[in-house]
Amino acid sequence: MTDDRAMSPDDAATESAIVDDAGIGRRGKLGRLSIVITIVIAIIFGLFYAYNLFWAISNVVGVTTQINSYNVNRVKFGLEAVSTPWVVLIADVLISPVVYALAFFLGRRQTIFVKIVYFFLGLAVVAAVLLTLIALA
Amino acid sequence: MSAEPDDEALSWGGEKDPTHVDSPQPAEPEPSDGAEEVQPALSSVALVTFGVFGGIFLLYVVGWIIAVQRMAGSLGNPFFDFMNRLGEVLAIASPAAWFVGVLFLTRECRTFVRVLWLLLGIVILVPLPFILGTK
Repeated sequence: MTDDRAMSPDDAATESAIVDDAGIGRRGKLGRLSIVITIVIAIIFGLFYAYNLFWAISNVVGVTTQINSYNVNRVKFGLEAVSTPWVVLIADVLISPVVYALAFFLGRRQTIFVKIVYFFLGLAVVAAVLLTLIALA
Repeated sequence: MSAEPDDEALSWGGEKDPTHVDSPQPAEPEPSDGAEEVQPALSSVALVTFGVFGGIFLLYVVGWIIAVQRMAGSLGNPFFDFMNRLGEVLAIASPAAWFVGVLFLTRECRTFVRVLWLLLGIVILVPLPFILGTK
C-alpha cells in the first residue's frame, strides 16, 4: 500500500525552494527596513550636525567681518591689525562633518541602537568642541 | 580447567580472557558555546582605573555646567535659542556620555584599549571655557 502523503523528490525540492524563497523574502524585507531606519536616523541626526555646520559657517563670516572692521579702525589710529584666528575657524567648520562621517562609519555594521549611540555621542562631542573653540577664538 | 580450582577462582584473566568486555568509555564533553562561557570579571586595577576616570569626567561635567551658566544669553530667536540651549545641554552631558559610551561600545575590547579611549575623552572634552574663564 502506498502512502498518499509521501512526497516525491521533486515535490520536496519545490517545497524547499518555496521555504527558501520565503526566508530570503523575509530577510530581504528586514534588510530593506533596516536600511530605511538607518537612513532616517542618519537624516535626523544629520539635521543637528548640519545646524552646527551652519553655525560654524556663520561664525566664520561674522568673526572675519567683525575683525576686518575692527582692524580698519585700529589702522586709523595707527595700531597694529589683529589677525583672524583662521585655524580655530576652519576647525569650527570641519568638526561637524568629520564627526558625522566618523559616527556613520563606525556604526555602519552595528545595530540600530549602537548607531544612535554613535551619532548621539558625536553630537555631544561636537557641542563641547564648538564651545571650546569659541573660548579659544 | 586448572589443576588448582582455588587459584583459578582467585585470579583475573585480564584482557586475554575471552569473556573480557571493555567498559563503555565516558563521552567527550561537548565544547560549550562562546556565549555560555563565563566572562572574566574586571580586575581590581581596571575597576579602580575606571572609577578614577569616572571621577574626572564628573568634574568635567561640573566644569561645563559652570561654563555654560556664564555663557547664558538670548539670541533673540526662539529657534536659535532652543538650538543654543540644546548645544549647551549636550556639552554638559558630553563627558558623562563619553564615559558611559566608551564603557558600552568597547565592552569586548581589552582594558588597555578602553583606557586609551577614555584618555582621548579626557583630552577632547576639557571644559576650556571654564578653565579660561570665558563669558
